[in-house]
Amino acid sequence: WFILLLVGLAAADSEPFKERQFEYFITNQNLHVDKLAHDLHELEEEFSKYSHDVDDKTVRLLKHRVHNLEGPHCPEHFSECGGLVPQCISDLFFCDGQKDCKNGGDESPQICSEAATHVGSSYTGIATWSGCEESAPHYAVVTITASERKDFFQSYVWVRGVLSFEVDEHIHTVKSYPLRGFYNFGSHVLLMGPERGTKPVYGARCKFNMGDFDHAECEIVNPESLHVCAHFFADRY
Amino acid sequence: MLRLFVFLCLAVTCCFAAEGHQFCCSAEDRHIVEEQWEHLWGDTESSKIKIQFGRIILLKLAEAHPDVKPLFANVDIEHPEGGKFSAHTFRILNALDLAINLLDDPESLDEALNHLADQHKVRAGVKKVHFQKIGEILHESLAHVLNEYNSLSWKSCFKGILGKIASKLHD
Repeated sequence: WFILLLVGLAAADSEPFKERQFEYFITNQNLHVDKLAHDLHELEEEFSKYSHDVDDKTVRLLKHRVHNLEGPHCPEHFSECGGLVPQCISDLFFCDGQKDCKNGGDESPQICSEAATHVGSSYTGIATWSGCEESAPHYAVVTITASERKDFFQSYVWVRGVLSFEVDEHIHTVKSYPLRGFYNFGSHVLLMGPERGTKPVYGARCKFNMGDFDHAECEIVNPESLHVCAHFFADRY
Repeated sequence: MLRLFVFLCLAVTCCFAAEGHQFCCSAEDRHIVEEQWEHLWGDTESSKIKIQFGRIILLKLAEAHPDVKPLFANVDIEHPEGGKFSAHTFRILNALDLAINLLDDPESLDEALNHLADQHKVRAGVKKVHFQKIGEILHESLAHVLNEYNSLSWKSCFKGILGKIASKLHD
């Protein structure tokens, strides 16, 4: 009867034992998955130590700098259509509603964006003077205060703006010059001279040649001779 | 001719009206002065040129205004070729050199000239007319030693420099 008792006990015990065994396997699997996750995490960390991908902005900037160095293929007052097949058309034909480029590049929304002339746009950079003004490098700002695009002549945007820069660091004297001028879609140039009735002291010329409307190469010039007094690389604020 | 005269008068009054302003000794004027001054110092033996040049200026000044001679007594003006006087002319030319090379930085130039003005204030007997004469001698001799000499630029800048050095003198 002793054996009988054992069998009885075993029969009574077998249910919880199986459950525990099952739980044991589950735990085991979980531990295994945890280890895999840990390994993966370590691998990810290892991977993140390598340098990041180059962002599109840097690539675009580099491409445009190379492009600028390649020089203009077009004669004066002409600009490129873009695209794979080079073609030049007059600056006056850009964004006028009529496709003049073979690939229609002169009417593409990217080229014809008015972003550069949006009222309130400010282009700021540290100006280095090579003449006209004797001062150490300081901030100069070109701000657009008004813009108008005439229906019957769409390839220019007429703008008004202000050029200002700090002349004295200690008492923060700021010189301001009201300007007016235009932006041309083909050449991406914002060209401004003195406002009507003001003294012809300075003009500003900004080239948006970095592939976007947030960066420009600006110059403070003499309005008559276009002699460059100062230049600055401008960011939009 | 009349037009030129009127223009010159205008320019001069401009300089007087707004000292240190853009028109008087403008950025371009300063660059021209620095560039032309640079031509004198190409050689390694520039100290000899400086001493010689300074000696000529001071002796010419003493010739025109005999009353400055006693002022230079303690640097031994009686022996212009001597070491004491040579060292002094060297010092003066170096100060001039410093002022010209500081033209790019108006604030520092102002301080440097202020310091020079203080140094001349304590020398009793130094007069404003002496500086006026030095200006004349300087322009005359620079026109001789420099191949390129833009007198308008030099004059407009030196009016300011000498004027500031002499600004703390009483007469």
